[in-house]
This record gives sequence, structure tokens and C-alpha cells, in this order.
Amino acid sequence: MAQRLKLEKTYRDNLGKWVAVDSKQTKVMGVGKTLEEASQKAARKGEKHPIFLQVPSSLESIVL
Amino acid sequence: MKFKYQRIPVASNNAFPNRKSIIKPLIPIRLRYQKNFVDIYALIDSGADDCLFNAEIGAKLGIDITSGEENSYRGITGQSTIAYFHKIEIEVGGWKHPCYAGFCYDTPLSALGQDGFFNLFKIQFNYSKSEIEIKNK
Repeated sequence: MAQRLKLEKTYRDNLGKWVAVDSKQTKVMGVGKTLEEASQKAARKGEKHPIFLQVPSSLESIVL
Repeated sequence: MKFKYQRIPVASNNAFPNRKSIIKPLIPIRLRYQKNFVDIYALIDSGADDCLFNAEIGAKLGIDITSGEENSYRGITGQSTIAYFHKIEIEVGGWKHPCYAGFCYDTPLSALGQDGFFNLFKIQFNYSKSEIEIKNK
């Protein structure tokens, strides 16, 4: 069984971007400046229904 | 259904010189609108009044974002934003509920707030076990 994707590294590598993660949450299938771009890249790799992660543009602490 | 907290990196600074990451209740959910659905990671935010999502998610669902009713929000730092509300469906752990959710053009993350999430599910946080248990109400 593949290990669950660790979002810590995914965040660091993709600040300000949208990341499409495979439905089993094991790997990144596409990254883009927009959700649609990430979606299209994932679809080209065969993942039609990824889980989208919106990564903030900086690692500053967040208070809503 | 149980979810694990996600470890997210944060920038070190003078206040927290040794802190490199923090764990957050970021969980996978499904949003539906008509025949479309989108899966996203969303932050469980008990301090948020409502559920707010980025407008790009709404566009992917096929929603005409600005046709929705407007509501303005202000965070504790004073920054304000406008959300456009639409009736969608939220699915968590296989449980589905109607959800009146807002879509913003400038939100950096998706937040699951009191109305549209906490009123629909029973949520138990266990920080020491790094677990969140969600049940249907």
C-alpha cells in the first residue's frame, strides 16, 4: 500500500499554486497557477477526479 | 470517520525561531453542484461563521459565482472580503448535506465554518493523537 502523501513537502514546493493530488492521496498529479491548469495536467496523467489543494503564496502564519 | 491532522510548514521568525511546521485540521471533502463535483482539501475552522471556498472551485463546479447573494467578511486582522453564496452539497466521509456556501476570489484557502459544516456534523478534535473524528449528526 502506497504511503499517504505528506503535504508538508507539497506545500514547500508549490507556494501560491494549485496542486492536484490523486484520489488515493499518495502523489501529486498536477500543479498549476490555476485550479484548471492543475486539473488538466492531472487529467493528462489519467487522474480525472483529483483532490485539489490550494497552497498559500507564503509560509506566514495564518489567522482567519 | 477519522482523519489525520496535516503537518503544514510555517516560516520561522523572531517570535517562533524554532518552529518549522504546525499541524492543522485539513481534510478531504467533496463539493457537488448539479451533476458536477470537485474534491478539495479544506480547513476545519471553528472560528469561521460560514463555509468559504475559492471562486476557482466554484467555477470548476459550473457555478456562476457573481450571480450569488453577497456577504462581506472581516478576519480578526481587519481584512475584509466578499463572498457570493450558492446552494451546493457538501460530502464528508460519505455523508452528504445541502450547504449554503460562499465563494471568494481572494481567499487563500477553503474554510469549513459553523453554518454549513459544524451544524451538520459532530466533530471531535484530538490534538494529542493528531486525529479528527467526524460523525453525521
